Amino acid sequence: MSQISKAGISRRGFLKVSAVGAAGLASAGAMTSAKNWLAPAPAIAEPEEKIACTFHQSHCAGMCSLRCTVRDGRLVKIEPNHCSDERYETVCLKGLSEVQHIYADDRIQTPLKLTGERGSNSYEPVSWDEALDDICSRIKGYKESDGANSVLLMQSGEAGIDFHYLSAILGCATVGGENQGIDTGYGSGHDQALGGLGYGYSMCTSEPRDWVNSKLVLTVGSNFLESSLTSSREFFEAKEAGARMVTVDPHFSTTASKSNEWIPIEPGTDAALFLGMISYILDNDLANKDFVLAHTSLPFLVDTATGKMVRAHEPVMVTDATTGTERAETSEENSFFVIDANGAAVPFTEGGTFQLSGEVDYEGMHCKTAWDLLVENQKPYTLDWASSITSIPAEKIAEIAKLYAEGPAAIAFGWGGGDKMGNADIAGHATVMLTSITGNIGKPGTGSGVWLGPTYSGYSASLGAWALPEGMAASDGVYDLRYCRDAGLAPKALVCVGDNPAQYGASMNKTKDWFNLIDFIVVVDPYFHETSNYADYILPATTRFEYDEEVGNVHGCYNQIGLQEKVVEPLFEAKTGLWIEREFAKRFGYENALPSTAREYCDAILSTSTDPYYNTLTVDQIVENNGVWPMQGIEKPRMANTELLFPTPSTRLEPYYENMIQWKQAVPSWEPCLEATVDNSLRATYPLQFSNVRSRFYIHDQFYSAAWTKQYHTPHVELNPKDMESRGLANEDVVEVFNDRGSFKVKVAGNPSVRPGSARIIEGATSRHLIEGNLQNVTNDTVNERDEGIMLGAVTPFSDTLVEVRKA
Amino acid sequence: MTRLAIAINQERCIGCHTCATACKMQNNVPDGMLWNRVLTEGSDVVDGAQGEYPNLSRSYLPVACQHCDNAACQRVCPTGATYKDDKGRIEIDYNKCIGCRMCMAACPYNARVFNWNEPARITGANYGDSRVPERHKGVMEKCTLCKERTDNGEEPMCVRCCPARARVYGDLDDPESKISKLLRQNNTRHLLEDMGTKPKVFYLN
Repeated sequence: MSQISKAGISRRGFLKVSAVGAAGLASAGAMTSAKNWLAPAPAIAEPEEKIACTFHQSHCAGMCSLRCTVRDGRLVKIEPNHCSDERYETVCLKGLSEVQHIYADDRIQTPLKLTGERGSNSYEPVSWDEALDDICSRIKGYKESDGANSVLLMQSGEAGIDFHYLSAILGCATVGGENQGIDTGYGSGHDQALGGLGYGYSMCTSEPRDWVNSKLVLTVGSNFLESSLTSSREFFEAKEAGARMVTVDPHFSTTASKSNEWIPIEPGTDAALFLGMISYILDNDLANKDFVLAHTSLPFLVDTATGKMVRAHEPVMVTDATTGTERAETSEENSFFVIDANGAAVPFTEGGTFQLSGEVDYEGMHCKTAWDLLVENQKPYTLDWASSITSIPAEKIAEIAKLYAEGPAAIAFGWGGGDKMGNADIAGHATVMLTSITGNIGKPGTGSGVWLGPTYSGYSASLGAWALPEGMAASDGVYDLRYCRDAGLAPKALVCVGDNPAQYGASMNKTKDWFNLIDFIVVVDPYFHETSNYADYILPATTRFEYDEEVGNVHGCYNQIGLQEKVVEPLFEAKTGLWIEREFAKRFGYENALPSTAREYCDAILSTSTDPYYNTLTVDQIVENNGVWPMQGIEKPRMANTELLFPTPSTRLEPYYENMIQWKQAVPSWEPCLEATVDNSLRATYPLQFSNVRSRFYIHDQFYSAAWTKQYHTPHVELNPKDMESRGLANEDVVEVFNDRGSFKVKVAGNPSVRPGSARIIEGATSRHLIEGNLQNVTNDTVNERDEGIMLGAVTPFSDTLVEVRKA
Repeated sequence: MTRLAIAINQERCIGCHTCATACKMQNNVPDGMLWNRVLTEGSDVVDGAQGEYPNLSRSYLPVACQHCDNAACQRVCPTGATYKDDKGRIEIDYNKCIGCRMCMAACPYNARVFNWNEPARITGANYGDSRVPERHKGVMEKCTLCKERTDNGEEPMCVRCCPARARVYGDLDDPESKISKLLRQNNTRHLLEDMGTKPKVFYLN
């Protein structure tokens, strides 16, 4: 890790993950319209039709396999594909909208070179060769003069499906999979207890198919029925099977409206709800103490003077003999301590008899069990306290806590609600504490985490990989956008595949200032987006419907392998990810390092799997099977954590976080959110909490240019009718949403579903789709003080923002 | 006899507009028109609610041609362009339609859309099922119950694509059909029951 990242941060011991919470594509700004560019296909008597399949978006985790009809070379129809089980035959409005969307006016049609000032939108079309020669020459120049880390690639997870090697080809810095500040709020607080399972994104749950076994599914801050709408069937199957679907949300979301019960909550107070539930469970002896003793670190002794776990010796990092990587010591290597049946402190051994509660002096330390510290810490968090913070009646918190403790119960949180508040880590920690004290994990109907999307929670296929030559790799630089902007640390050259700067960067004006520090910006994308407004070169990539070979990709989808076939030829002058990467590779001396064809890549992905089920599977077999192939064992829902063994030092759930002692968060302790607190004096000027949420219409900033979706929705900021009235606003008025960070203009709509005192907007709308400005102009970019201790760092508190709204 | 029908489980409808989009795509429905719309009941904004925060309720109501057994549109059509076919579907013979719009005024469900101009498509080309006939300026159109699909034993596209599986299609005259069983086991309602139109779109809630 280089000097560019925040000094001293080492996320040791945690599993790495590729970027999943990344930005996407899309935006407006047409040159030649698609209508003019493409010869219209007139209706003729006997049109030539073909059927081909592809898979759709990974960022909603639907990855629906789509059966596409092409007539006279144009995509004309999309249906769910024919799969091994009709459960997997899904599509949504976004998938269907591609019949128009891939031809949308804001497709980038040809390589473009900036001819005027940045932001002037003055571009001239250039040839691919001219663009690539100049881009590669300049990137090489920066690497030579300023080092490899002077070039930064920001690539969204969605783009990562199509671009495999770009950082290795460029040998440049990346944003890494950590410290990105998005989608990791709850997850970082939660997953530490699981030894990193869930990757800090809390992708550690069973499939939603398992919800039929739940008595309670407590959804908090997740609009599952919109953001995971192709899994809505599983939600209703559970509800119809008798699971009580309870949704906690400040707003009357679609998911809230379809649940058995909606519990409105003050924004940014999820943690207080969970703390209140913990107190009720402890006070009423509803905890599953057998589970706590057998499967958690809560019986372990803590030195009350330091808050540290008592160990046989001072913990050190060791090198794992198998993997060669650094890790914490196991409990065998450095024992934890417990109180035995006689009241003495003894080294912990699995299977021994020990006490959950007690005090003991050991080697000069006064020790208590972590359980007792939890119980003590919970004392202020009474039901009445939780009620006063959350605005949820105390008896309702008690009722939900009781149901949860009885189980089997699941807590389903998300990435678009409370995850965007500055105290999300505490909420995540509190949920895993609830899991730990009730044993709602590893059994049917239980679990806590982000249940988003079937692809992430379903089975995974151990597909292989294309091996790159030794030494062909990204450089060691990792940029952390949360700090780089304030610190004035910028690369010389920035290559964006996807719109990460706009998606990740709250307080957009800082991002614009950061762009000004960068000499050279290249955007590669199917669509124009926010960052493309600032690019020196804009290069057109294909969508997942276009390819220059018959087969373009194989990928794990929801419980099946999906195939990307050529549906249509690359549109305009767009090129595939592999073609673009090969052209870069040629110019960087790696001509023979990449697969020569996509088919060669697909063959390698299958044949190099270590699993005979996949390494004997061929592309031709998948083609013959409609472009999908079922994974193994999918008849039953994939269940998570059934062994109750975790990659923690003790292999138990470890919800006591000794690395968080300095912030008094060894056990979860209440801290309010950062800005959108009820009593913030800033409310006098900016009275509305700015809630930027996720929806069925878009994925991040993608699909804003889908014309068919515009029939149903265009960007609006929504206010409660009372807040409309007090501001003299009427539906469809153009308003300015503003605070000290900046402003943007958009139409307004009154909606009683919105909590009074909040302004709600769907995230991702760029300046191309708003009347003026980007909604990130106002969002909060504060990094909370616990950043150094939090597993993947503090989340960017996009919705922990106060604004005012006035008629423009 | 065959009487084809659709049942919509409003409990399961999440208002996602996938059915509306599937219909538009399949049937080459021009810009500015929908044969199938998803309404938020009692609300003037999409995804609104009835009541005052926090005492709220929301219900999505997908509305297309109700394929009425006693169809008001059919009764007023002066040319016989609108007719009930042998499968119980209400269809339009586009060649006979003179664009008088009597049917549009008569339909209490506002299910019909009229080609006031030569139809435009933002794609610049036709889309959907090639078996679906083209319509021109001056012609009425609406949900055909995906005639071209259902004639060939396929489900209507809105049913095929519904992510929540809220839609059930089948033959009311077949007592073993999924829809017949569903209707026997559940309370259902029709829209504007008192109009006497006897729709073949059933709402479960």
